[in-house]
Amino acid sequence: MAVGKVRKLRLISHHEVVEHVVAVLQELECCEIIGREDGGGSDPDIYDPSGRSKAKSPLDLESGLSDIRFLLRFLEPLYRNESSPLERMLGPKPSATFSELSLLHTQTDLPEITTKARKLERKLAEARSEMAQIANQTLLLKSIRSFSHPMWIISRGTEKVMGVMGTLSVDQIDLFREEFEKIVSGQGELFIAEYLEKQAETHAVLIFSRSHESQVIEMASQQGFSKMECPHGLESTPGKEIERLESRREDLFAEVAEAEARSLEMAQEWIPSIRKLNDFLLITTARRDTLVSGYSTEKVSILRFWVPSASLDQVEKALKPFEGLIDLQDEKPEPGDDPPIVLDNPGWAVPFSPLTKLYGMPSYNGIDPTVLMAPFFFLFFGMCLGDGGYGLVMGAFFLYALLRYNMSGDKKNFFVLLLLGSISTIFVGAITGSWLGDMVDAFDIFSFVRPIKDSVVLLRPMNDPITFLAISLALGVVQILFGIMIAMWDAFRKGDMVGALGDQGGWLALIVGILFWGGAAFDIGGQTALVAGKSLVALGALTLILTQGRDKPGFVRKAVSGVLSLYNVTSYLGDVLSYSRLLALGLATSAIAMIVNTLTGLVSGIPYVGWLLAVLVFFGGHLFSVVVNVLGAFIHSLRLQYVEFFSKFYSGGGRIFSPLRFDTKYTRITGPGLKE
Amino acid sequence: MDQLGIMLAVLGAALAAGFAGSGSAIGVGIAGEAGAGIMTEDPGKFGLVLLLQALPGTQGIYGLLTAFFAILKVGLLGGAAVPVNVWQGLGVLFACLPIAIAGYYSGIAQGKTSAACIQMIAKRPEETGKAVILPAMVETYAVLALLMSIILLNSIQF
Repeated sequence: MAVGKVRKLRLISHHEVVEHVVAVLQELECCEIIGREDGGGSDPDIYDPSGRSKAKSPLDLESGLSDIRFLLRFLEPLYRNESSPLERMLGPKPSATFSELSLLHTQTDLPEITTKARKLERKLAEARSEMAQIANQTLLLKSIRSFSHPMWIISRGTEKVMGVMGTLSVDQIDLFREEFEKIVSGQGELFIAEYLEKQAETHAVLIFSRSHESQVIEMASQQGFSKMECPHGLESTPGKEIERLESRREDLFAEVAEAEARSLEMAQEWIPSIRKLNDFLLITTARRDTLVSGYSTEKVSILRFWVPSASLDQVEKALKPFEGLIDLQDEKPEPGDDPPIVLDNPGWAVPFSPLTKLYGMPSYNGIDPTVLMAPFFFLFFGMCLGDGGYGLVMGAFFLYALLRYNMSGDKKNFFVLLLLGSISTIFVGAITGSWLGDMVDAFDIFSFVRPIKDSVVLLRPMNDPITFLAISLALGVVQILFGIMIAMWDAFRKGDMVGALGDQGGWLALIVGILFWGGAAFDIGGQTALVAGKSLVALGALTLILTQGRDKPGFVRKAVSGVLSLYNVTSYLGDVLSYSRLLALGLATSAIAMIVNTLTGLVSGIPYVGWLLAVLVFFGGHLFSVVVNVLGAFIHSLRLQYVEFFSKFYSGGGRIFSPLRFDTKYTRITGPGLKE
Repeated sequence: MDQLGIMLAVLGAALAAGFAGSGSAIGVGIAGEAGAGIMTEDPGKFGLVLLLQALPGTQGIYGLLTAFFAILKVGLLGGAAVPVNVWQGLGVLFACLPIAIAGYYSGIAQGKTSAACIQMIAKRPEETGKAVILPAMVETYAVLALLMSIILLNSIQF
């Protein structure tokens, strides 16, 4: 219920051992370091007063990490791994000891690998850009292939003669030729590239004496000629240039292929080590950040951190070897402190804790809703999915994944959660008689299990949705009343009597009263219920009117706020109706499954290929249905917790506990956090 | 005239599947556009984006579901022929309307919410849980409409 207690500690350690101490704390993974209020970190002197570990100076670490980021970005996409994607996603990370990583770090010449890789990358980029350039030039040259002069006339020209290349509208050609001749009067040449009938524009080259330059350019721009720059380096005639470029392109192609092959080789050779080095540097950086986050004097460093009370013994035991050189002290939490939140749940509720984290951690003095929500989520998930067959399929999948891959942390919790969900789904499916929809009844081959299936059926939502709806709404009422009671208990705990009795007590009386009254209207409970209901409603309403305006000044505003607060009854009504989704989603699952079965029956009648189509429709349809419905069931049963239940008593706002730990990406660190 | 009843029921089924499906198509389309934009920056988000894009797709399924229910009710999916008079046919048609209307509009609205949430996970991938819940808030009304359609269909006597 309540969140786990944490202790604030101060650790004073001699510079001689401080690095070891931090390594030990990191290995324990249960201490959240409190940074200096002034930020710290910018003063590298604090970190290494003895000047012993020059190799890990902040600059080295940063450049090492940046090298690794580059290598991973460049080489990782090329790395081929034998393991399946699912294995990589779910399976455990390969393990290594810190000493192994440290040894690898000293043995690997990271700067050299990086230089090599950078060279390769540059080579590839240059070659690719040149190839793109060549492609453009070839395209251009092909369009003026029949131009018989060398290209340097256009690119450079001579002292007297120059050339201009560009595009010209096909309709303008005759006119243009006339105007051009008028200016150059025989001392120039106009080349028009061949064009097809459909083309609107074609390439043209003008060659003329430099003395006519300004006239020609002016005329040309008036006649719709648009000039193009001639690419540098083109010398010979288009035909020969095309040949030259083609052969250059082939060379480049070979170069790229070679560089790619070498990158591929590098990736195979180095990626596993680079990944390990990445983790090594992450660990070292975390240590360095920890060291600079504390205060320091000439002889000692002072670290402050939060430890869950439950882990305190562990910390003390681990620090025993340093006795005499360190001093561990309890520090009194100050009012402004922001203790981190550790969820402290009994084993059965732990799989549900990711749901609380998803919403936001409780505040330090608040209530941990995990245990309170777990049974409801369990049941609601089952009701939303509500099909025994799908429950089995889903359960088998998650059980297999849990057994096959050695998961840990929240990934494991999540899988166990869905496995639990499948159990409740099977249960609900059994009592509503839904096994892959109406499969057992739809196909005669299952006739032998029909009596077994029918023997446990208590309710058929398809035939009697109203009863199931009533059950859904009743569960809603139960959960909402439960939520109000938790809020009431919380207010009592904090000593807020008026809040507990006024806010929560008033609503509790009002809602229970309405239920009794309503029950009496349907002849449940008789006269006693009616009287009890009416008096509870009156009591609740009166309490609310008297208390809900208590923050407002003046009698009139108090009274108005009090009366208006009764309008909130509609929001409770809305909350309860929201639980009707339990019926709707449960029905939807059974009905979609039924549709799949019906379609299977229909296609099986098709001659020759009917059996094949039936198999495809059956498996494809149910697979689709199970995925869609599991997603829907999860989201909607979660929503009922977050929106309808949590809103009654829970406010997040806590900060998740993030201890100093081996926060690695690719490897799992085993063994001690120190070099052996 | 004796066919009119059954045809009205067919119209209801067509409206349910057609409108709810259209709403979903538009919604999934809107979310998909946002998703494609995000993936130009970070193709690794494909899984998350696909999940969020799929959320507005449920209205189409609800519409289909109601349509099947409707034609099952009037005996068009095999089984014994059911005589349907005009009033019963009209009843089936009306019963299909909640999911047809709410499915269409909520599909579009949910698509917009999904698109916004896709933008959100582009910046804060750690908040996927919340990004999945927001579009589900919109879906509530499609679920309620589906519920009403099913209850209405169920209550029509033949």
